Amino acid sequence: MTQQAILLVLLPLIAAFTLTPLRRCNPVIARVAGPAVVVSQVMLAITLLLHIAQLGPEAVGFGGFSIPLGIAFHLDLVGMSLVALAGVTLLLLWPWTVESDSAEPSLYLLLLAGASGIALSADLFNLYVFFEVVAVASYGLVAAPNSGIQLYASIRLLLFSAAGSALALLGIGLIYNLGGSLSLAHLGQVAAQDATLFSSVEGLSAFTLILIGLGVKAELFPANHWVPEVYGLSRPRVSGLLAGLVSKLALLILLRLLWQLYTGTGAEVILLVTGLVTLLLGELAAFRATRLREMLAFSSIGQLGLLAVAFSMGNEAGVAAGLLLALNHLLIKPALFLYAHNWRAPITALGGQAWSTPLASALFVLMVLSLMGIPPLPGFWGKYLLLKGVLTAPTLGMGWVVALILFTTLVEMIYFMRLLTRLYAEKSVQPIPPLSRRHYAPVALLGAGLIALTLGMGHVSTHLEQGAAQLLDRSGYRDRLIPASLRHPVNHFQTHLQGTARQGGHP
Amino acid sequence: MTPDLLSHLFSIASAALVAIGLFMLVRSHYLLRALLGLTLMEAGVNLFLVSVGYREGAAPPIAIDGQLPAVMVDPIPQALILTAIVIGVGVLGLALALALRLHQSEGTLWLPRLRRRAQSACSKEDAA
Repeated sequence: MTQQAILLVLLPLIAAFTLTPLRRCNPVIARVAGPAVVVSQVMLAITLLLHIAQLGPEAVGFGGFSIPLGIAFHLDLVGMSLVALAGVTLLLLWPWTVESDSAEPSLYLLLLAGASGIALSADLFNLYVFFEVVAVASYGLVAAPNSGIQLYASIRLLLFSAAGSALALLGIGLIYNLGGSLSLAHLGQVAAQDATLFSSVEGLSAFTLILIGLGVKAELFPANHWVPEVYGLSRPRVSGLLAGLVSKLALLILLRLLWQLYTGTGAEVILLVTGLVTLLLGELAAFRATRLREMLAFSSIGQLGLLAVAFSMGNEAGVAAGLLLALNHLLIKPALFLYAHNWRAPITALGGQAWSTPLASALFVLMVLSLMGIPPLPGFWGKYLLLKGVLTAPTLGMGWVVALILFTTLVEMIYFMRLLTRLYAEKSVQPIPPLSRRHYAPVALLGAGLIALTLGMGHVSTHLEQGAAQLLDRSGYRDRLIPASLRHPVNHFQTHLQGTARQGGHP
Repeated sequence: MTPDLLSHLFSIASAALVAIGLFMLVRSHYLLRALLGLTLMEAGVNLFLVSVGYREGAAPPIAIDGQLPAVMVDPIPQALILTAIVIGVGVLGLALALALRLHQSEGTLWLPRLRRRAQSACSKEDAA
């Protein structure tokens, strides 16, 4: 049953490359094939999700190799939900209206394959490779309309992202040099036996390199200069995908790395400080933004900073809060970018626009309120849980973290309220409809998802806590990925390790 | 030369390559120079990965007539580098293709000029 998890990567990958020849033969089938593959992917992911929810997380080896040889996937609640959500998001933002010779459907499928790989892989190198797959798909999506300006945006993204990947690979090399393995579970075992290994200068610089490298896509300081430019120039659904989905994938890798290898090494503090700086700079820049699109881009940076803070807490409340905030952001940001496509005039010129389409504007208000964190919307529960997590964090009370989170929330409220009061000012002379016809359906569905999440909060929160517990459960992760015969203190793996340690490379 | 010094030499050389590449990437105003910087960075990373697997006096990890050499270098980093080189070439190819299209439509690869055009395109779109 769980062996089918490989299909979550293979199916969209094969479909992505067969779509182009298929289009030459039969354009009608090619048009339907893409969404059909995504739908079947989502169904498979949900089936596996129900299976895991019943029987607990599971590790799967592929290609006739038993674990720990060969490639392994680790199926847990968070990873599998992310696969399903990625499929649903891509389906909602599917390029239905592009010409039949566009490569976009193929790029969407490639993105989906990479996303599944990132959510399920259990070793660093596969994570790196799948991350590159996602990166290449996103360059293509930004460049797809082929006009000069979007090509420039794509190149900007490529330069940042490729440099980040090189740094991350350097970090992975350092970790291999230290731990002698690429499997997260093996490295976790090594870290458990020698607590000082990853808290050394080399270990922490490896983490920092990976943080900077993946931080390009996770929009974390200092590698997020591309964000306002690229989100300002690319099409709204592509901005929505990058901000909503791709950034979460990068954060999930960081989260796994942090809690499998780097618990109690001081890496949490690095992530915490990076998150706080990102949060502060993002919200302050959003405060100064003059256009909606720009405001959304900077607010997205701020939100991801907040997620990084949540994930650095290392207790269930903090990680559960991060997951809830991530879900909230994933539902809301793509919809807001679709609104921003029509409301692209400077904010000062948007006076009274809300009255022309009361229903669509009301939904816009609801989403913005949830992003701010107004009860009873999910954003509020996310921030509430986060504050609870900060106050019960294993390290000191961290009053200043609480103060910073509250301050940035205040800044967020001021700039969003300024926007909302402007939108509901006296009636405008020249109403601009907030949404193009083709954007109505995805926005309505994302809004419905947000309302469903609000109503089902109690039910969802237990699942979030379970998911967070699984992410933080190091020994369970190791037990599933390392067979019992190799778990004893003296084993082949250890002797291999000593071999690599003796060979040197670090003083 | 002692093996320790040799491995340090590799680390220092690869760190230097990465630093020079990153500097070129960040500071260049000309797109192709920035891409050259990216290539240098990747070369530095690959050099570092090779040095991770190096062992003094070891043979290449190739089985001849079913016999593995007694002492061989670690094969895993070599597999990583092969993959990383392929990814690097692919991304560079894509970047050059994008650059070619960009040059065809905008007539320049000078980044500050492109940035100004992008900004004015943004505000023109807003005015329309």
